[in-house]
Amino acid sequence: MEIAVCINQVPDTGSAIVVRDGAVDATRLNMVMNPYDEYAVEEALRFRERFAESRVTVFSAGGEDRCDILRKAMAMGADGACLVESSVAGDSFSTASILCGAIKRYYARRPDLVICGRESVDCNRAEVPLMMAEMLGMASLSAVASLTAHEGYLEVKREVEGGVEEYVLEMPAVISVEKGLNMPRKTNIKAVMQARKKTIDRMDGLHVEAPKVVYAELAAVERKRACRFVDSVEELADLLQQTTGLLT
Amino acid sequence: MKNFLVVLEQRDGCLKRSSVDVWNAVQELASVCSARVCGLLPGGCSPLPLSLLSGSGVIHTVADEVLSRYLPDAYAEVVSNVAAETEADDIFMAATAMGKDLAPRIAMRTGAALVSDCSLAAGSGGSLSASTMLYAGSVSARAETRGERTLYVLRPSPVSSRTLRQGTVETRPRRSGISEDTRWNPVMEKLVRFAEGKKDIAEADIVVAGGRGVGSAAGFSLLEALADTLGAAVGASRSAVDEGWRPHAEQIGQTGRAVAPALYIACGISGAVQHLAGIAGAGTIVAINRDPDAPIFGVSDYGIVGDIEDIVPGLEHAVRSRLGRND
Repeated sequence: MEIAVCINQVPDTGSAIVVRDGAVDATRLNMVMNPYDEYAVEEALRFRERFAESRVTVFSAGGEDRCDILRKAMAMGADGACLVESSVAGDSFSTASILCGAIKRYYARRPDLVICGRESVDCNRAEVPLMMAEMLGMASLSAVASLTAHEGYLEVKREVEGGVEEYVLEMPAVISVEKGLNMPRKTNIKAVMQARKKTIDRMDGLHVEAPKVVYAELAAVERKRACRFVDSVEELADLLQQTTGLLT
Repeated sequence: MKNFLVVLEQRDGCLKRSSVDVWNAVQELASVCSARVCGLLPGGCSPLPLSLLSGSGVIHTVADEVLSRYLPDAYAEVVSNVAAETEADDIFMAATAMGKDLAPRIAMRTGAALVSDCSLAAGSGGSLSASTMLYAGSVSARAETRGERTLYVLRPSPVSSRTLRQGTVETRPRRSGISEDTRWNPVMEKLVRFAEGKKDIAEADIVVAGGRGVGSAAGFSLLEALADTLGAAVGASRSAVDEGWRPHAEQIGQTGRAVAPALYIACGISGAVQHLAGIAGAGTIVAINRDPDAPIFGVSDYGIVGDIEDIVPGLEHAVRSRLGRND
C-alpha cells in the first residue's frame, strides 16, 4: 500500500503570536510539526504495520526550513520524505494545487491513501485536504475521529453535532484526521540520529495556483470584558435574570 | 442584482437552528446589498419552520431518499448544480460538521473562493466584508477574495436581537438530477445519536462548560444538574476532554467547536486563548473559578470566586427558585 502524508510547519502552540503592522511577526516563533499532522503520520505508520509491503512518504510544501519536520516524520518511522520546494505563500487553494502536483509526480499511479491533519493550527482553515482530494479526483472525508482499516476500504467515524457518523470509505481516498485518533509515538535519540542521515527528496518547478483568498489587516484580538465580581449565587442569579432575560 | 444561495441543513427532517441563523443573517445582508436570496435544502424537511425564516425567497427542497443523510459527493453535486442553475454569485452555509466537510468540495466544483469560519458584514456599495480568525482565535483578519463567486462558511454568531422582517418564504420541491444507480463513496452507514433530550452545545441558548477545575468526570454531574435546570447544554474545555472526563464532541475551543450561546457559564475553566476562540460569539459570559487571578475573569461579564462544588449547586438552587420550580 502506498501512503502519502502531507505535513505542515506551524508556530509552537505555546508561542505568543505578535502582530506588527498588520502581519504576524515570525522572527521569534519556534516552528514545529503541526500537531494534527502527528496523528496523520502515526496513522500512516499503523497502516504500514498492518499491511505488508506498505510505504509511507511524507510531503511538505515550502522552504528549506521544512526539512526539520520532514526529518521528524522519518524519525517517527516514515520511509521517505519529499520537500516540495515553493516560495509562494498562497492560500489553501494554492497549497492544495502544489501538493496535488507533487503527489501526481511522485507516484506512478495514485497512492492508495493520503492522510492529512484536520487543520493547521496557524490558519485553522481545514480546507487543504478536501481541496486536494477534489484535484486528485479521489474520494475523501474530513475530521476522521476513529478508523478501522480493511482490505480496500476503511470504516471511519466523524463526530458531528449531537452524534457520531459512521462511514464506509473505499480506497483510494484522502482523509483528514482529528485529534485523538491515536497516540502519536515519541521519537528516540537513535531514530532522530538515523533520520538525520536519510535523504530528503526534492521537487521543484511544480505549478502553483494563484490564491483566491488573501488575509489582510491582521490584528490581535482583544477580548477584555469588565468583569463584575459578585459575592453570592443569589446576586448572580438576579443579575442574570435582569440582564439576559433568560431565567424567566 | 446579485444572487445569494443559502445551503441549509436538516437532521431527521428538522431544519437545523444553525441553518435558520444563517438564512436570517443572509437576508439582512441581502437587504443592504440588494441581492436576491434563495435556499437549497438537501434531504428535504416537512414542514419547513417558515415562521422562523425572515425575508423573502424560494427554498428549493430536494427530498430524494438518498439525501436524507449527509452524502458528501452527492450533496456537493446537488449544491453545485443548483448554484449554476440559480446563477449564484455567492453561496452561504453554516460552519457545522457537515458544512466544513462540504464547503471545500463545492468551492472546487463551482470555482468559488472559499472563506471558512467567517463573519460577514455588508460594506459600502453593497459588497460583503468577511472577517475571520487565525492562530487559534488570537488574530483577526479580513478575507479578500479573488474571482467572481465566493462561498462563505459562517461561524456561529448570536442571533440578531432586531426584529426580523416577517418572511414570505416559499418552498419548491425540485429534482436532484442525480442518478439512483450512482455508487457513492464514502457512504454514511449510520448516525449514532447521543442520548435523547441532550442538547448540543452549538444549538443551545445556554451552555454550562467545565474545565480542569471541575476535578473529575463525576464532578460534571453538578454541571449537568445546573444545565438541566437551565435547559442548557454541557460543554468542556480541552483539559477536561484530555483528562477523559467528557467526549471530544463537547469540546469548546480552537481544537473543538465554536459556540455562540446567549449565556455561557464557565466552571473551573482557566481561559486559555484557544478556549476563548471558541466562545468569541457568546453573549453574556459568567466565570466561576477558585483562582481569582484566572484569565477567564478578564473576558467575563460576571465572576464569582469559589469552589465549583459550592457555587454550582448553589446557583442551580437560586435559578430553580427564580423559575418557580422549588421542590
